[in-house]
Amino acid sequence: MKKLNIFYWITTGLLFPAIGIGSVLDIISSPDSVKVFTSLGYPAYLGPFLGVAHLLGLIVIVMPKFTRLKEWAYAGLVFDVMGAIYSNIAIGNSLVNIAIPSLVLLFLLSSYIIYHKKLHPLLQNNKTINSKINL
Amino acid sequence: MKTTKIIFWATTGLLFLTQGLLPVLTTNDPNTIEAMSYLGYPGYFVLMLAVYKLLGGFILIIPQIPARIKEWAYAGFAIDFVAAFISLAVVDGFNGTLIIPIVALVTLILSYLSYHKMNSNKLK
Repeated sequence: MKKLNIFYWITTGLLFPAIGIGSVLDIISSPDSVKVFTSLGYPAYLGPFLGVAHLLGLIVIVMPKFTRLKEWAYAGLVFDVMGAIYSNIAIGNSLVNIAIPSLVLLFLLSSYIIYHKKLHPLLQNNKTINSKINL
Repeated sequence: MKTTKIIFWATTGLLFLTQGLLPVLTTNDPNTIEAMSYLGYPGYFVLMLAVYKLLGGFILIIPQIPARIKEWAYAGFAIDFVAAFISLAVVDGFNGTLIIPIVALVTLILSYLSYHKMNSNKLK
């Protein structure tokens, strides 16, 4: 359990600089962030909306309780990062631009899996207890 | 309970047809492509959305899919409709076309609530 906690905080903690810093820049529509959006073909007004959504999602992920909202937050972040990967591939960006969101996706999925392992720890004796995961 | 089932299948069926199948069928339609670029989105976005939505539509309409995956599909559609609302509002201002994502969102909420009501009843 202690190892699980460590891995959870490593994977989830790394999401904050990975997604959080970019989202703050998106909200203030910094010229770098606008350049990223327009180079992928997206409109500039998308920046503040996505920035707020990312920040809210990250905050919800680390809040205690709120299991259903957390599920939605993980889902939203995963869809967004998958979209970022697809956009970079569709534009034909370099491998680095495809690898970075892929790495973020890896951390995101790891955080999700470990979070659910922590929520429903596998029991030693499964014979008498129903360990089916429900929402 | 019977009304809940009717509401679920009516709303989810509507969502499957209009949000799951229709985007795939209209990916090469010039109106769709023009509407996307009018809102500012790139050309490849039409295909990306269509694939996402087709998957989501199937996940919602097939009963055997696990609850957690359905939760993600509902989340994805909700994000899509809210983003559509924001895009339309920013580009077109607050006028009549905003009713489309609002109706879609209401249909989604009804499907979501009736789905969870049906499943909570099943446990009893």
